[in-house]
Amino acid sequence: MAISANLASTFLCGAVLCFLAATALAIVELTRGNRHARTPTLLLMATGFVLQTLYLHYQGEMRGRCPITTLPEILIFLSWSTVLLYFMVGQAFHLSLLGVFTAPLVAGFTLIGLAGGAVTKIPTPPLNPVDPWLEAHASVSIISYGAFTLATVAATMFLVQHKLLKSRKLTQLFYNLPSVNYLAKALKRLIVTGFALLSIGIATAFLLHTFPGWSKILLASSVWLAYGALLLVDRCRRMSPRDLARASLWLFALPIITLGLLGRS
Amino acid sequence: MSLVCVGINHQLAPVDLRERFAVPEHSVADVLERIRESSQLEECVVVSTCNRVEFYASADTTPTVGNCTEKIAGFVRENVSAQGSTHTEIPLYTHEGINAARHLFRVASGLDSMVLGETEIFGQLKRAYHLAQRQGATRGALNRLFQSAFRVGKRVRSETDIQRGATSVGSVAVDLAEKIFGNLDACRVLILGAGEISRTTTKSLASRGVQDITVANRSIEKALELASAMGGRALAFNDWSNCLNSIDIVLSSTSAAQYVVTPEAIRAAMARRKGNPLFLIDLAVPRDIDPAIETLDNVYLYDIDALQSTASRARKLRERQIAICEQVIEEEARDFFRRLS
Repeated sequence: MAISANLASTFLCGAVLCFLAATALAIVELTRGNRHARTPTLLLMATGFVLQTLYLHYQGEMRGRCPITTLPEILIFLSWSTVLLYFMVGQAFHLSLLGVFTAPLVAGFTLIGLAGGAVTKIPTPPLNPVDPWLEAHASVSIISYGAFTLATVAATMFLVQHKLLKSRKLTQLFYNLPSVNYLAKALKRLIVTGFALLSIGIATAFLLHTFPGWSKILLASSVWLAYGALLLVDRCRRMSPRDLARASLWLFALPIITLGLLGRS
Repeated sequence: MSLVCVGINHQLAPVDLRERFAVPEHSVADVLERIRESSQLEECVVVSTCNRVEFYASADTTPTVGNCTEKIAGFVRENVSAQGSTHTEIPLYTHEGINAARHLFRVASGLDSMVLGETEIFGQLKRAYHLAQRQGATRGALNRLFQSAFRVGKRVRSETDIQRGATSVGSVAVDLAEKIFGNLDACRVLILGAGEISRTTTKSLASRGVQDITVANRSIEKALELASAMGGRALAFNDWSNCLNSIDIVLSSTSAAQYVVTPEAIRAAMARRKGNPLFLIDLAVPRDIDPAIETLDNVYLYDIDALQSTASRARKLRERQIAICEQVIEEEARDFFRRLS
């Protein structure tokens, strides 16, 4: 078990280094327009993701369950799901630069998780029996938060590009960012994805052997309601992409706050 | 081994002289054969574009480089005279040895082009090289020289900002459209006014995939003419605002004294556009599009000044890159010549 703890710690440190290096390269790519930095950034993100996966494996072994029980662990899982979605969505939308904005965010989450004690030193007795619905409920819910995180990244990129276009400041950054149309589409799809996943997460809570408690359900539901309301308003009133981006930036405070509260409870 | 370049370009000769030197693609084989025979050259490549005609050659048997250069220059002069040129002096330039390599590297990098950093020349060089290769007119030296030139051209373009930004009004408009819509294939363009500037800017948009073009002009004949040239359709001028909700890019260059496109018209169209952005390009002086439209959400408005200043900034940026490019070229030219000798 001590070996597992050491390995988990090493993998997590490695992941942090990868994401920090990807952040540094991303800054070079954005400010100097070095197109050669794009592939190494992608490789560093992929390596960081693999290392995070290995951490989750060993940490899960130590925990005897899916390692999403403490706030640091949740942060690591959140950054892992964000990178996972980035690879799925970023490639689908040809938004390779999404990684440039994602790298500092996941580096921050992973670093906070590592500093907060995401690696268990003493093994926890495994849950007996392990409730598969609990594992599914928790992991799907956190992956939905990953989608909201990535939506925030896309919203930030949209607002930056929109501002550059409106102010006619066609800088290096302007040429490196994707089109506002692609970003607006990616933003909407990510919010829909996050909302759908969170709906599944909340629904599975009612199938658990042990009910997680109304406080948790209410916290998750507040996020679900907020994003649901945003999608409803957009559908009924056709929000402009700028308003949708701004609203999703403000709304992201809610998953962050509830994450902190869920981690404590 | 003698390596030489003899040529004429846009910097030294006007078009009426350059056109006499031009070697059409179907004559390349014949010219290569004659020049190699008359000048006793081992290898030769002819680069003939609208801005330059250059002969690159190498010879093992020619006693001196100067001799080789003189023979090519003589051949060129004779050919031009045979076409009845009235120019008494032909401003040919010659580069020998490392200078010939340096010159080709500059050409491949777009440093010798009329539009600094343009990429078209790269493809033209490749075509010229392949034509010569097909004729068996290239061997060791010129093969190595051209392969090196292609590598240097790529290196200069990827390591510097020499091709960064758009340097003409049309290409700035295209860049902006791509940063708003992404792929332009499905974009629908409305042209108000059928002037020359509309035509050239529309051509730029069409070159990047725009297919759906509608032309509205006060004179329907002119609208029909431009529409047919662009493969689009014409519209009566009074009807243009009716199709605004299905248009992505409006390009306006009428000679109207007042604003043609008003905030009210755009506001009404935006309400029906389902959140799709609208790009307005105002190429007219006095302006056609009310600048108050700029404040509308999801609408991007660029007038001629904004486009021209962007193009001018890009040109200046490219000019600042020249020194960096020259450094790369110098390093590569020395390296190439060291390996060659």
